[in-house]
Amino acid sequence: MKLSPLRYWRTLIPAATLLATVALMAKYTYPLPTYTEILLWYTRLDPLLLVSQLRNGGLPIWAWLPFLTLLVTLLVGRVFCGWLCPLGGLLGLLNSIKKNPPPDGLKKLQPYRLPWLIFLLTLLALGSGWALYFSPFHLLTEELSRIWLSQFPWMLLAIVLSGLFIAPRFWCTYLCPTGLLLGFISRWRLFRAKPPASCIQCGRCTKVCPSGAAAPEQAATKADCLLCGRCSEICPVGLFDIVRQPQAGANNSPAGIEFSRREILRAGTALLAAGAASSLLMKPTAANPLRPPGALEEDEFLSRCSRCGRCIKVCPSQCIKAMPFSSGPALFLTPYIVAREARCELTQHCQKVCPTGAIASLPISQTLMGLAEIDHSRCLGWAEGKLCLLCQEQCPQHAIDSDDKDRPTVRTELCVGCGACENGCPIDSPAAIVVKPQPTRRR
Amino acid sequence: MDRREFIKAAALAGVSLSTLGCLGTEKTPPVSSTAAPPVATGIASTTSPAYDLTIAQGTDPVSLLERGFKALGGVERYVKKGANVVIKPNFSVPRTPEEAATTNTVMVATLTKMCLDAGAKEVRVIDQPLNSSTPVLCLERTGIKRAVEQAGGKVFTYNGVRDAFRPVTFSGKTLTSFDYVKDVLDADLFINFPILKHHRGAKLTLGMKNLMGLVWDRRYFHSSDLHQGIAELAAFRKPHLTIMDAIRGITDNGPVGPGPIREYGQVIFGTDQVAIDAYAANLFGMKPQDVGYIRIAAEMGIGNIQWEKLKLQKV
Repeated sequence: MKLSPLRYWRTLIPAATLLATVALMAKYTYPLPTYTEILLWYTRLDPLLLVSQLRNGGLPIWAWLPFLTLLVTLLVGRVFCGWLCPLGGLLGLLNSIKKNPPPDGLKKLQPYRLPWLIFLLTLLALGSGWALYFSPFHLLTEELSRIWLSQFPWMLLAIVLSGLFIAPRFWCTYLCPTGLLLGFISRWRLFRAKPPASCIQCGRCTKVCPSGAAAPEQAATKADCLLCGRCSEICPVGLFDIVRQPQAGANNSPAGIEFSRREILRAGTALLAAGAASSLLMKPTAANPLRPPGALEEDEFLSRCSRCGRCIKVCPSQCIKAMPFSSGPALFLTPYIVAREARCELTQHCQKVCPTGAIASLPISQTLMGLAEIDHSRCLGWAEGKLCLLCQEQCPQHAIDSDDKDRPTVRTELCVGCGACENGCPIDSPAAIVVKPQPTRRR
Repeated sequence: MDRREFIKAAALAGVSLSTLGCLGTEKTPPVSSTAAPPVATGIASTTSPAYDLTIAQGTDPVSLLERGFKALGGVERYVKKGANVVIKPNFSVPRTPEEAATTNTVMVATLTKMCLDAGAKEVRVIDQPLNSSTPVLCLERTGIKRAVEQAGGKVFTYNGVRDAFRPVTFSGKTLTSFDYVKDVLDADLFINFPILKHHRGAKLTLGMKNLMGLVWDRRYFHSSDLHQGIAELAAFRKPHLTIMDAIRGITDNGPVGPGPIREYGQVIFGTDQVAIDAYAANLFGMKPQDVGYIRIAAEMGIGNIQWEKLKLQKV
């Protein structure tokens, strides 16, 4: 079979995936249209998400999707990266504007790719959601939610700059964990693109290949081939072939890893580094923050949350915010609620968009984000005998009782910790009624 | 203004004046000296023919409004051509119309349409929902935005919208200087359109309590003297007309609800805020004197708490 010159399609289709992701994120509003569930299913194509789910129990019902990605990768290589990844779509667009082949010097970094992947996978296994953050769906939506909140998308800028000035697919071939995972599997792929038999070794394909996979001197393209077809288009002697060739040439052994002492040493270092980093990335330094409704208990939550920012975008009251850098590496970018600024309206939209299950679907009656506590020494009803009861007026759960002297009390069996009372309280800094986050989040 | 418009306006003004003359015998509630009289520039007439309260009975929201206004002499009596009309319903909680914790959406939309048909230039339907950061929930769940916009009106929620308020002063015990919604201050016709429902803090929310949605800082009311504040607020700016939705409403768990619902099957029209609230409190099953702000408002002379002695027109 010939690899057709895929001219427009190779830009249009990936760009469409980017556009679709942006459009679906835009629709993450109240009320949430049901079709936005597409983004959830789309995200599930990422095998790395499945890896994170395995840590927390059995196979989810959607496991066939990432398996499909893996299967396709085993057949033809990184077609997901080249055609279906929205972040890849963005980098592909940039590559259409600025055609810069990867510089030779980059090859020096190649031996560090596997240790980096091992590092991230180990982190994931040890229980830090950080590893998932770097996978394309999560990183892109996190950056998009930042844009929506008029915050600067630093990571996206860095990735775009790397695409423009280092190599078009530097992110995809050296840093993206999903890309590295698929690239690794791609070494065993069944079908490979191959220069025509009459190849004259002109090297033009290597100049247009965005991922540095074209290798006319070898029997077939390398594992990073994205199947974009640029090589086939530029080739002066004919179209590239797609051939069934499970074994690459001698210089490109299927596994691609020579288990030299150096390689083993690097992998071992990555494991150790992940162990060390996990203690830093998993142990929160700040006090227990108030999490969105349905959030798993803190350790479990941190192991799952990819910091994808979707709960932040969808929240109708914008009460969910990303934790600041100052809260420490374990908590940075995870969603939390500052009730005094905005209260949770219990629309449960965050539960519907969470791709990792860090915010689980939980009936309000079983939800326990926190419990309201009244400071009797400052509450107007208790300290000054006034009829205030603003907390009672605001409470959507009818969890505030009042006695015959109009003094409020919290019915802890009804309180879910949404923060409506704390938000409404006329006493300032702090309010006279404050939600204390609870370590157990389910009744 | 061209000649034709001028003639129309002049004719209308003449008719209004003569109507006013004919109805010179109507009872006017005692007005507190501190209360600013309603600015009635855009109103054809605010006088009610021979009754103090008009009560429409039934369950169909459209027919209730139509019958009520027919008894009052038509909506045209209130809406002058080109008038800016402001309606303040209660859509301050995110409840569906079935949950009966917000002013009947169909009635608000119908009133909007009636005002526009009578020649109003613009009808603004405004509130400041309790869940201050998320008024969209109230707009969506009550369906009020869709309904009013379909009727040709505009819906605004002023939570956090600093520009929508203007500093005002009042010589009250609790209220001295505060920020109030500009729309109402500038309106030619201001209609208060509350729902009769339970309120845990204030016992009941009625017409006067509904006006709290027009102030920037509601926390101040709760931290000073809630009932006194509500009464003074009612005196500060009297609605030209109050329409109380007492078709059905929650009898517990108010104001947020949901709660048990009782059907009253009534809509009450009038210009005496105290009389309307007193009548509605009685309908709910409470003595008007037991609701702090009604008692204080009556003591201030804003209106008549003894609704039994008033002339009621039932239609």
